Amino acid sequence: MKPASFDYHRATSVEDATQLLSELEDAKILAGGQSLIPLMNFRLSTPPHLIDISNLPELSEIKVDDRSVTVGAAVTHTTLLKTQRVASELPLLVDAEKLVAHEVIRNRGTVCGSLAHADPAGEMTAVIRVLDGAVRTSSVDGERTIQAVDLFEGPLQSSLKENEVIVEAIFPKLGRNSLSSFREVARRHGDYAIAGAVSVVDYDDARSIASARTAFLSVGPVPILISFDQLLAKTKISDIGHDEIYEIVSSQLNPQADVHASADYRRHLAAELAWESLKACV
Amino acid sequence: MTTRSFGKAVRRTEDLRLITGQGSFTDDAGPNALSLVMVRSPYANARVVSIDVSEAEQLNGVTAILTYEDLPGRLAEPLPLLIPHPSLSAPRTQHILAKDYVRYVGQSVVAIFAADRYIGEDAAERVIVEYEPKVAVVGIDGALGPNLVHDDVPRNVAADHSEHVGDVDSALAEAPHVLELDFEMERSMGSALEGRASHATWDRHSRKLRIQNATQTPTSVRFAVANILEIPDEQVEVFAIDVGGGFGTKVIHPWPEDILTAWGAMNYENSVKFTEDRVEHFISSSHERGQRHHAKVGFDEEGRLLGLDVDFVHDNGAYTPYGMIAPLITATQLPGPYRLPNYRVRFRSVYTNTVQVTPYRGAARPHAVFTMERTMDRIAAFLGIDRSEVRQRNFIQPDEFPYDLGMIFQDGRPAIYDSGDYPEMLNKALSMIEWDSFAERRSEAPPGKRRGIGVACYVEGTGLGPYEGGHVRVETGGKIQVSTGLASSGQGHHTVFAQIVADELGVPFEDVEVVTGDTRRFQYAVGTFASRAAVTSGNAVAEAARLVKEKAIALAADALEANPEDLEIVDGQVQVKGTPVRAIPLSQVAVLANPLRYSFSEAARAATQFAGNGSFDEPPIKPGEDPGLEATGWYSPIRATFASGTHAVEVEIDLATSEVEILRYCVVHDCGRIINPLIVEGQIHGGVAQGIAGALYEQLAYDEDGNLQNASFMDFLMPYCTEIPKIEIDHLETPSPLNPLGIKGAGEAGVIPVSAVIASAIEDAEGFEINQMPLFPSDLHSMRLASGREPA
Ligand SMILES: Cc1cc2nc3c(=O)[nH]c(=O)nc-3n(C[C@H](O)[C@H](O)[C@H](O)COP(=O)(O)OP(=O)(O)OC[C@H]3O[C@@H](n4cnc5c(N)ncnc54)[C@H](O)[C@@H]3O)c2cc1C
Repeated sequence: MKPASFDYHRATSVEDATQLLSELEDAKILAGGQSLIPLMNFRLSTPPHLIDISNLPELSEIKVDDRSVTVGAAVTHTTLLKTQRVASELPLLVDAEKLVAHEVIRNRGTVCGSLAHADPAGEMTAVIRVLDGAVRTSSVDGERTIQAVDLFEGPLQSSLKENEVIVEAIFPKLGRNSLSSFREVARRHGDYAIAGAVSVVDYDDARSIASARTAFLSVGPVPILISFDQLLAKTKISDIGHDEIYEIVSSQLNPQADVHASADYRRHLAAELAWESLKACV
Repeated sequence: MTTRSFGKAVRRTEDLRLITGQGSFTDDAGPNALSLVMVRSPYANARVVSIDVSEAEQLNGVTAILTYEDLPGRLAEPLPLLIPHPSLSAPRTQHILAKDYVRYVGQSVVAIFAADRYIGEDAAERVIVEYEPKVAVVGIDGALGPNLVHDDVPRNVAADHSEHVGDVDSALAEAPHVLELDFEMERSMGSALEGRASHATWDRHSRKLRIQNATQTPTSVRFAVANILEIPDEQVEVFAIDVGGGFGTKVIHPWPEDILTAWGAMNYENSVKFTEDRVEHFISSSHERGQRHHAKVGFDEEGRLLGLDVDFVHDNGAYTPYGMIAPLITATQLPGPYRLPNYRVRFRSVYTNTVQVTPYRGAARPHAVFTMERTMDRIAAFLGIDRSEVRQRNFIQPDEFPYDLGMIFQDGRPAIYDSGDYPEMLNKALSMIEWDSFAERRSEAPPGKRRGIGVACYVEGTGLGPYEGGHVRVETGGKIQVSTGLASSGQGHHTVFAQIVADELGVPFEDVEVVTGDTRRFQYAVGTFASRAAVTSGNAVAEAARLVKEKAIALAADALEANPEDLEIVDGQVQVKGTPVRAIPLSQVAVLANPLRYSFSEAARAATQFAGNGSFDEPPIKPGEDPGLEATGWYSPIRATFASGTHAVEVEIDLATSEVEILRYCVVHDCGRIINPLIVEGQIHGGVAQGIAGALYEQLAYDEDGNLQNASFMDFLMPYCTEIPKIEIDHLETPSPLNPLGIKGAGEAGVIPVSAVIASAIEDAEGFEINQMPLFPSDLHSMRLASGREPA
């Protein structure tokens, strides 16, 4: 379990990083290394060059404005988790971060690294999906914004081009009349979830549901979003029926079996967790 | 008086060193050693057609690459069969490097000696091996099917063994009730934090092969290496300074890498090191636990056992280096604490194309206990009596010891229980968990949850022979040096042996320094396994300390001109009883014990030739005496001593997620006289944790081609401390009459009944039968659906 040899480059700026990325053959960005290094140790990934962006001050910021929380590419899970303004302005991010791995991994792993890695079991992929957020990227060809719905293409497959770096992730804030909740089941504390559901419910002024949706992790190739607008619009949260939610979710999800769980169990769990997380949005 | 430390919760002397990074593990040695890297088979069952190492050999930093063809002399022979047995009709052991065939994914095929592990792995990628794959035999069903693991072993049967006591057929024929039951346990493994490791150095000046090895049995590694390399034992030194857990895997020896590192060191003018990585530990060391049992039990209206007939299949993997010890333990430990006048057991130990199976902590007892305890629960359910009551009615009573099972145990000697109090143990466990008031707590389960309670009992044969020895020497500086041949892999040997010696000799605990598992210090030993270290080495060092004490008193009697009977040793001083002013420190006795020509200190002058010691009628060393205040003691048990325990657990199951939460876990444990409750409890905690792992988290998931699908800690779910509940412990102490200290083994106990007790509680909560372990939420979910007991 030792990586193949590679050259290490410490980027001096985003521009330097994108420049190196376009010049060096098969180079990869190194952020916290919590996903990439294990893959390299197993020699499942053998990049000849790593470009380390984890020390760039310009990527280390968390910005909060009226509309969103913007997280730079060098911001670790721990930093996001411990930032007071995030907790007060978009508590869902903190709820989700508590479920990401263990402290030592959160201390190094980055939020944007999670998104670039595009693991459908990653909490942040489901969060950015349910919030309809986006990532901003940079490359020698210029900058662009990729909406969450377009970012994830398959397990460990994002729509990033080979020469693109995620510079920051944008998580839109929830309105004053919106609530969110995250539920997941993992076999061990801090493990990737067997299934998880993150729900957002928007209320109208009459405390009736205006819109409701749930994003799921670990039950498909990408984070999957299900809208309950049709079923729930204009109803009260207390009127939500377990069986209808269960039915909608289980009929729309098609998870895979693995050594930890059967497909049926995963589907069942996702449906139960959707129900629980929706009910918790009160 | 010296304060006795036996029985006290003395803090472990090992811990400060270990937790501040000052341990000395094998991989800490030889930073510049050549790295041994193995190319392992990616196929479970295949013929090796050709091997091309030419490209790999070109790589800078590669010293040598070996295939089977390159192995000289005895290195080309199969590795030794460690424990032969008459019923083991078709034993097979692997070669150091695959000869023509590979029989499991992970088997060593090519050995690379490289400047470091990175280069070694680069080279491994460049070795081209052509295989001709065959159908893999996986799992017990696979073994019973038409395909063979070894072409010359029909039906894949390595051993077919039966034993019986009484007349089972008549007992079952006459029994008012008979149940037929099937149980199965899947594979798991010990997963020590430190994998296998060996670092070998050839000192060409002193012509010694020095081997630091992460082993539970250094003396045997030494003999095996010397034998295979065909060099004198005297040239080989093996020591295990610190070993990061063993759990049975590190009893197995010699591993191919043990021999190759030693041979490489003698041939490549550099020391050679092998440090197993985690994937290798999963696919090329040892597994355990895969067994399928069919039981037929006869009993009367009261639930009394009349006869039990058990037929089981043991999946031994591709090779049998440890013989058939594991299934043999299942066979003999299955009756547990119950009177079983008519018992017959038959097992077949069968080959599969998977990693070899050798004893892992608990050593095939978890399956035995699972079968027996599930059977007791079924009898209770059938008759509608309480599960605890069925057990009480069948226990061997305290006045029935010694109780002869009528069977031969794993040490080749009769299985005779020496002592115990099973009824009292169960009573203690029941009151601890508040068994009688459980109905109330069951009804208080929150909505969406079900609660259940379970209990399970076991008996464990511990402290086997053939023997261990210990050496105690009083140094003139005042330190007491103790050594014993078996190695420590984290158990706390340094602490308990020091406690024993301190008490026996009458010296402060702090003055005792213990070395274990170093053939340079102690040449004869068996090893650390079968919960035997405290019993065997403990009694041996106690004997050595008693001999030293005798010698010290005799010498001091001369010096103090006192009668030996009037002397005692207190706090390291030999003194006249009741008159502590007439005293001489042991360190000074040590000086006198070694008549000197040359002085080295003020104190030493007393032993020099003009000091006026002794009479001219006798030589300075009297006939029958040896210089030095030291002695070697031995302990060779007549047979195993049997520890016992009862576990009780209360669980709560979430009906939506099928997760099982352990609300309370209670242990009553009897390992005879307790040397150190802190250490015994630590052993129980670790054991229970591994038991919970095996019950609810771990499995070794082979696919049909024999690939281990979860060979990493990401997918092999060894629980974290967050998954392990508080473990409540109470002790019972029924001393063993077999050894002077009255102790029994405690190392494995915690793990043994855990699968059984958790199954009992889940069954109690859910109302459908639990016949297999492990049980994941996913399994429980589908079992509940299949049972029709869906949550309302
Ligand atoms: C034991 C363990 C448990 C874990 N459990 C969880 C869990 O429960 N939930 C969870 O969500 N995660 C979990 N993780 C994963 C961890 O959260 C991720 O590794 C981490 O967040 C990814 O970020 P990183 O900075 O470490 O990325 P890296 O490992 O450095 O990179 C990952 C990939 O993304 C690319 N990349 C990284 N940053 C960028 C960027 N800015 N632009 C373009 N490409 C980029 C890299 O090239 C690489 O391909 C676990 C990890 C471990 C080791």
